[in-house]
Amino acid sequence: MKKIIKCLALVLVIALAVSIVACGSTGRKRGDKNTLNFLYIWPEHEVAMNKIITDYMAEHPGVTINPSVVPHDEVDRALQSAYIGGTMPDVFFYWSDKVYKWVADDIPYALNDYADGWKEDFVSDGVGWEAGKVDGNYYAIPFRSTGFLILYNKSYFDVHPQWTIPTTLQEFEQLIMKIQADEPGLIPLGAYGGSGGTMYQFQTALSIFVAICNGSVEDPNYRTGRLAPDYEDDAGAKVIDKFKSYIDAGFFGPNPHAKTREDVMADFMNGQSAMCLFNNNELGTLLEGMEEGTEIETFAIPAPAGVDAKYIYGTYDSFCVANSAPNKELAVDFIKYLTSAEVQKEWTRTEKSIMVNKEVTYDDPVQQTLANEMQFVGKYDIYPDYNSGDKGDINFNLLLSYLNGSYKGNATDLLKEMDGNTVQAMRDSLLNPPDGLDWIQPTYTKKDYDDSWLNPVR
Amino acid sequence: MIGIKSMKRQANIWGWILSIPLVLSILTFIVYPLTFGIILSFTNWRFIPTDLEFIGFENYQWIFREGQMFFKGIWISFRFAVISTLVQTLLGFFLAYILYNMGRRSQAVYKVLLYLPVILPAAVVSVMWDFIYKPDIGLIDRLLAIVGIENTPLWLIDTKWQMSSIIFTNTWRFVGITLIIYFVAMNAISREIIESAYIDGANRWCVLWRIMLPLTWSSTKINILLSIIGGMKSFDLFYLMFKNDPNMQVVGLYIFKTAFEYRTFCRAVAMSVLLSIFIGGATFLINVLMKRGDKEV
Repeated sequence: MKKIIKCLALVLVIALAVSIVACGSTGRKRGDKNTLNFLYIWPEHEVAMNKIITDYMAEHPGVTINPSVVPHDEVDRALQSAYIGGTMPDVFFYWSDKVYKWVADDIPYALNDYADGWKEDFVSDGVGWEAGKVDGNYYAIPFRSTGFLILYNKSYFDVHPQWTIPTTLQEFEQLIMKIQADEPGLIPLGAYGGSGGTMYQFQTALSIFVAICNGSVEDPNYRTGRLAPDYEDDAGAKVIDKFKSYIDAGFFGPNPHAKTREDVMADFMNGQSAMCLFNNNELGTLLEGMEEGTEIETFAIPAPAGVDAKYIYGTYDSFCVANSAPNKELAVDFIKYLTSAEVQKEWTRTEKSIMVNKEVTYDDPVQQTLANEMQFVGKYDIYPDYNSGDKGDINFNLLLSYLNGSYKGNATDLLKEMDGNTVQAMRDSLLNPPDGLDWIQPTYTKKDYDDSWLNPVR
Repeated sequence: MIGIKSMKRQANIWGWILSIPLVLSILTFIVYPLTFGIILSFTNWRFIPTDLEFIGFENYQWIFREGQMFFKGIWISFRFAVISTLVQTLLGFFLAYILYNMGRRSQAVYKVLLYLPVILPAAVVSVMWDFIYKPDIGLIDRLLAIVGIENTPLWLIDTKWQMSSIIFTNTWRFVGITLIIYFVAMNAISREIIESAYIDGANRWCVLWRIMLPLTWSSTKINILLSIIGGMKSFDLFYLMFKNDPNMQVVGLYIFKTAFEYRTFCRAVAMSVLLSIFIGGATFLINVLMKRGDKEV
């Protein structure tokens, strides 16, 4: 018995020691100069990505690519663990507009030296590159674009010829009102609330149209989102009030705050909404859930009459090279392969994405329309170069209270309070660079414009 | 011949060897993370632990200066914990008493049925209840429509109903634990005491109030403590059902966001330390109050 106990004790001690040592093991060996560790986020596209990798390795004998795939909501933690564990992938996925988060920790490699001659291969003169620009450096190379468009059920529009596709914001508002008048039970435009809700894209769209009209988009620091606010100009307040009037007038149907993404999807698929605001990558899912033969067409949020623009909230799914990559040339070469016309054409053929290479064309007319509209992704968007921390949530809370009527004050008071929170976050040396950030004085020449389109509806 | 001293020494050596796994486990999995966590709360650890510097009490100062969301989260968690505990303890006690008075076969069936939600994963619970609470098409709205009640509130959206809805779900999920603890305690009470009470003319209410309640007092303490601590640390259901709802950001959810979304791990750790102190204080207070209750019982 004693012997058994002794053996058991020994086994337990060894087991514990082994488990502790095992906890410290990295699991993956660091590759040599001809090996690339590659992390991306689309488990649903794993087959297509594996084919690309196999083709690349066949074209580059001696090169090995070790792919790993994680769900999109796990990418932050995967990268964090990889960095801490010393297994940082050489090429990794990230969204262009969010790459600044990693720049603060000096993780991605600046790709400025490769921009010349490569950037021109991309749609809209490489606007997607700008989305991944931080402090004048390019850190993220776009792979495909992702954006939210208004999708409409063509059957409804065929039945009601008076419902015409709007080319201006005013026409868009009239269309909604026509839908409400002609089909009282139908949700004109399915969109949902909550943090990250799609309906807030209309508020952003209105703000951007104001920026185009007053010229602030021309300011070199416009994209940072840190242009000092001007409260003498009441356009910001008008934007909020107009957006509130959209909700109050039922543009998004009853209780849009209560809706989730799935609800909006279900409403559209069941024919309870005439239009919906959805990500282009989900067009296939929507079509699958609808009656056979249903046609979906699409358009971007149109600008007010006289303004030559459209708005699509979106970003670019991009790839970055890690600073720790032992062979950066190889990493860049692989990304060049991923963004080449040949690979991008094949990807869109099998995966139905909207790609960034300007040579890509689409056989499906719906996809071609999508691609045409999506050239506006990122064209006027603000990509803040600061971390707003919990102040972003606090501001969202304030906005919600204003929209539901419980905020004590007017829209200007709301803006001042929100800007106060934002600047507090900018100056937070833990969230942002140690010296903190601040508002930047605008240098653009302010233009006069007719702002009657900012009047609330009804 | 082996002397008693050498036998004792040998036994001591084996005692020490045998305790090594336990001591090492405690040091590795409890003492080390706790100490490391407390140390990290005094650093500037953001998301990636590079260039770590000690910054003294700055993280704590920030929480008290700008951490309105943290204290709001504490308040939401506290409300949730207190109300949940009250509902769960009372309901669990009465359900256990009903179960106690059932026949053996019925007991076996109901025990399983009432304990079933406890073993369901939070993801399943959230999906199920999300559907039950759905406006118009959800089970609750459908049932209410049958009895003629229309225009029901948006259970998970309306700020007046959100807390009640999540407490209802949470109670449904965890009342099985409370019930089992009470049920075991009730079964431990000698049948003779209860039978004597009935012979002396006590009715069921009297037995419940005068015998069952005092003699299961230690279970009440356990239930209240478990429920309060669980409630203050609640995270999964809130994450799954209210992740982006500003009115339902319990402290656990806010700490999670501070670490992974706002990328300030050091503040998240400091908040966790404060939350632990708060929970420790609440537990101590409950214990003191319960001890007073002990004397009265």
